Order: sequence, then structure tokens, then C-alpha cells
Amino acid sequence: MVRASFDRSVLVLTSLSNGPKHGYALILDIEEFSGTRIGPGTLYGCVAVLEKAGLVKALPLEGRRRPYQITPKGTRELRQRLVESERITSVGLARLALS
Amino acid sequence: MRSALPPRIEKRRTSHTQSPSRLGRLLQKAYPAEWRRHYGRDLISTIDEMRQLGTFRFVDLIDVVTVGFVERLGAIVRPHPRTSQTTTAMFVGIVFALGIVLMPGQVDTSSQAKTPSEHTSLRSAPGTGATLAQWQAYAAKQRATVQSVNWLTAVSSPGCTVTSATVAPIDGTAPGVPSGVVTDGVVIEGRCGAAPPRSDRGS
Repeated sequence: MVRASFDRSVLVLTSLSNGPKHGYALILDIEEFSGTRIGPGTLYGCVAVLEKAGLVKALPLEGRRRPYQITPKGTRELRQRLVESERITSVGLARLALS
Repeated sequence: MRSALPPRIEKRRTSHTQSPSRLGRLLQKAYPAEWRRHYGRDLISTIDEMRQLGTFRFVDLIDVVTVGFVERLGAIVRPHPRTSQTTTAMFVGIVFALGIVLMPGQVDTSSQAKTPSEHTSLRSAPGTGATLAQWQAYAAKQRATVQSVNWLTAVSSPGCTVTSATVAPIDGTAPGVPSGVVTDGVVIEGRCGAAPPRSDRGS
């Protein structure tokens, strides 16, 4: 995963982790669970990077919408990133409690 | 206190209500062909859906076009640390006004302020088949133009605060520019929506 797009990538992968979604559904879901509203350009820029890395894949069109699905590689990557984030969060919170 | 926006930016500010075909042309200018082939249709579909639901905002238009030019120019966009919004949005205005900015160098923010619209005569890039010398001459003109603009002033708009303006090196990735000509894009950082307009802060 590209470091510069780490946060957005995690958001998109997290959103796709419970099933395929098309662009606007991704924007709404991400806003709902993270409070971050990402624009359509940012979203597809991120999706392009993730697809190139084999972490998501495009599904056939449903009408005018194209859903995207997380791949097994994307699931592994997301799990690894979340575990990493959790570890950092734990350390940070513990240190804050000490200070 | 600043008055109205420069004409070109004002025009762009209202353009998010434009028709789908105009949006298509906008994306065609902003995104590389390869990218559009893969994601253009999906992007337009998403934008259309947002517009139908009334959730497509001006900041989304800025986002779409900015990402397109970033894809095209290969520039690095850095989000502002104090806000979650992508705050390089004003980059769009510069690209529209000047086209590709060539040659490395810092923007001289102390020079006399001129709006991008004052420099539209320099926008035409050498066409296909132009010689390297023609490209370099064009690059020199563009550089002079860039350095004569006070970007912090020219690109600001009500509700947005521009915090920095730098020229980011892009090595041979700009479309249509021959190898041997180093290209750069102007990266503007600022905040929109998080701070009151500058005029409200008494400056």
C-alpha cells in the first residue's frame, strides 16, 4: 500500500470489508463510520491505487454504477494495518495515561 | 481588504452547476487518458448521482479536478495538518490559469501581485512538433509569469486561506512536454471552511 495514501486506503478498504460498494455508497459509508467526507476525485484516485496494488477489484457494471470489491490480498493488508494501528493506539494511550 | 475574485476563478467557482457534457470536457482536460479510460465513467456516474441528490458541492468539483491534475502532473499533494480537507484545492485555479508551469524555482511572494487572468496570453503551449528550443522559450516565459504572481493573494478566495505556495518538481511526466524539458506544478496549500474570510479577521 502506498504510504501517502495510507489513511484513505484504510478507509476505503474498511468500507469494502463488509461487501462491495459503488462510488457514492463508499463516500456515504466512509463519512458515516469515520466522519471523514472524501470527494469523488480523491475516492477514485485512491481506488485506482488500490486496484493497481491488487487490493480491490472492479466488478461488472450494475446499471451505471460499478461496484468495487476488496480482494483477499486487500483483506490481509487491511487486517495488518488495523493491527498495527491498534498497537500504536495502545502505546499512545498508555503513555498519555502516564503523563 | 480584498474585493472580488479574479474573473477566471469567479467563473470557475460557479461552474459546478454545469451540464454533464461540460463536466466531461473538464475531466478530459484534467485527467490523463489512461486514467479516464479506467475510471472516468465510474467517476462521472458517481458525480451525476451526487448531483441528482444535491450533495455535489463546490469543494467536490475542486477535489475532482485537483486529483485529475495531480494524476496528470504527478505532483505530491499534502493535506493540511489542521484540517481533514484536501487543501491543495487552489492548485486547480493555477493550472487553469497558466497551464503547465515549467522550470523549478520558488514563487516570489514579495513581487507585485497580478492575477492569473492577466497572463492568459502565455497559456498556449507549443504544439505537436515544436522544437526543444521552442519548449524552452515557453518554459522561460512561464517561469517569468509564475514569479511575477503573488500566489498567496491571487489564489485566495472568500472562506479560504492560502498558507503556502511552492513549485513542486515534476520530472518529465507532464503530457505533451518533450523529454529534456523539466516541468513543475505549483502546489498551493491552504484551508477552506475552517477559518473566516481574511476580511473578517481585519487584515
